[in-house]
Amino acid sequence: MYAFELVRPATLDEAVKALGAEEAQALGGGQTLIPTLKQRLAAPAKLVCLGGLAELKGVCIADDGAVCVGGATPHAVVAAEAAAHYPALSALAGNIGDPAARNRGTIGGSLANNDPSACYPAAALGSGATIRTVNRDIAADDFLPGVFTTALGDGEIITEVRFPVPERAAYQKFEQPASRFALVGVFVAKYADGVRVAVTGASEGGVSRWAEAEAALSGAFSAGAIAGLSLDADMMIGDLHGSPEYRAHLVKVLTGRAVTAAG
Amino acid sequence: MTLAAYVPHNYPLVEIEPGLEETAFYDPNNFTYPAGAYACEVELDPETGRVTIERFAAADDFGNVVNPMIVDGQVHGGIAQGIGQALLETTTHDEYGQLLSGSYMDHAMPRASDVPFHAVNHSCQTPCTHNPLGVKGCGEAGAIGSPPAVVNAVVDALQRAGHSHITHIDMPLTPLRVWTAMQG
Repeated sequence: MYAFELVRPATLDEAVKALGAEEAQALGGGQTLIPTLKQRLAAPAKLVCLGGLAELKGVCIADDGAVCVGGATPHAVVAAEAAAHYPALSALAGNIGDPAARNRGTIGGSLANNDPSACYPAAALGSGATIRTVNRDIAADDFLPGVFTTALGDGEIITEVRFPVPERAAYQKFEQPASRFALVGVFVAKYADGVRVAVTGASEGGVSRWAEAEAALSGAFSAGAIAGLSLDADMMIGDLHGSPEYRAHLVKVLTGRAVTAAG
Repeated sequence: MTLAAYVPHNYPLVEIEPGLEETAFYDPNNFTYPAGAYACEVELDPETGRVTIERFAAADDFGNVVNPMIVDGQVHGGIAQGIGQALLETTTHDEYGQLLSGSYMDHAMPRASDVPFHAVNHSCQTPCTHNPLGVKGCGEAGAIGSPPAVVNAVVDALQRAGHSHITHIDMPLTPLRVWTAMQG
């Protein structure tokens, strides 16, 4: 590991100030950033540790019933504490990586990174979540424009993510057997005003919604409703683990299974 | 004599070095010929091509067994390795010679959850006739018997489901490869 300066702010204000410096990088659970540094894919001079900010940790229920997750909350905590209120979100968090990764990785880090195969971006998009930062609120639909790209500005820390709780929801993740990331993952959520279908791992454009499926399922919430639909393999990722055709096929299969699992 | 050689008191040190060592080579007449039979039951998810091993059993004849626990362990390890080879592990390069499976993020090693509980049995012990202990090799058997058992089980499942054109799939039988074979 190369030499870097580690800053441990005690308050959010200190953290924002520290991130104002040049070559300063926010550090959440380190589950992506630390391997990145070890591979020398990046070498920021200063790491600003957000893990000490108690005000960014925890799961609570807002007045409107939304599940609110602090930006620095580890996946294992979400898995435990959101289970009673938003089971699909809890199950998703509980199946990220492995126990060690879940004890360190945070929702803020996951969303700020927006890995095209990550699970949380699918949950956020599938739930129409609101990402609250130190500066503003950003709707999930506006937050994830592309692969490894978000709407965040420099040094803009995610303080909280608010998930409206749907009538029913489920996440189906087909694991890439080596990394256990989602080869394809589909998050389906049924709200009073319609169904949302968010897909991760499949598209070269990153996490996105499957509009045709949403329209069909909003009419009838059953696996049969999407039987006649198909996806274009054109924009799908092709790699060692899945061809574009295979991924396109899996999106449809997993969407149907998520609808059935949602009950 | 050994004591005198290693505690060289009253010893002709000028003429002879202390210590007592001897090297001998054992050249066996022939290889040993362990034998066995392996059985594997799989389930295949036709929509995704994913293979799950439901049951696995390995019976081997290793001749006289000196340490049964170690022999069991050798077969356990070989089976895990063979299942990994059959379903998971691959070394793949792109058309420019770049290694695609360059880390464990892409090269799938079998984990405990990938290997089912399996039964191993070496109660049949036909002594080898051409070495003094009557022993046979056991280290490679697990990795020899398991890949064909797994692959043949998958092909059998596909044939029973009507895919008579599939008689073989190259290892590893990843979901992608199985599904692609099913598309005809």
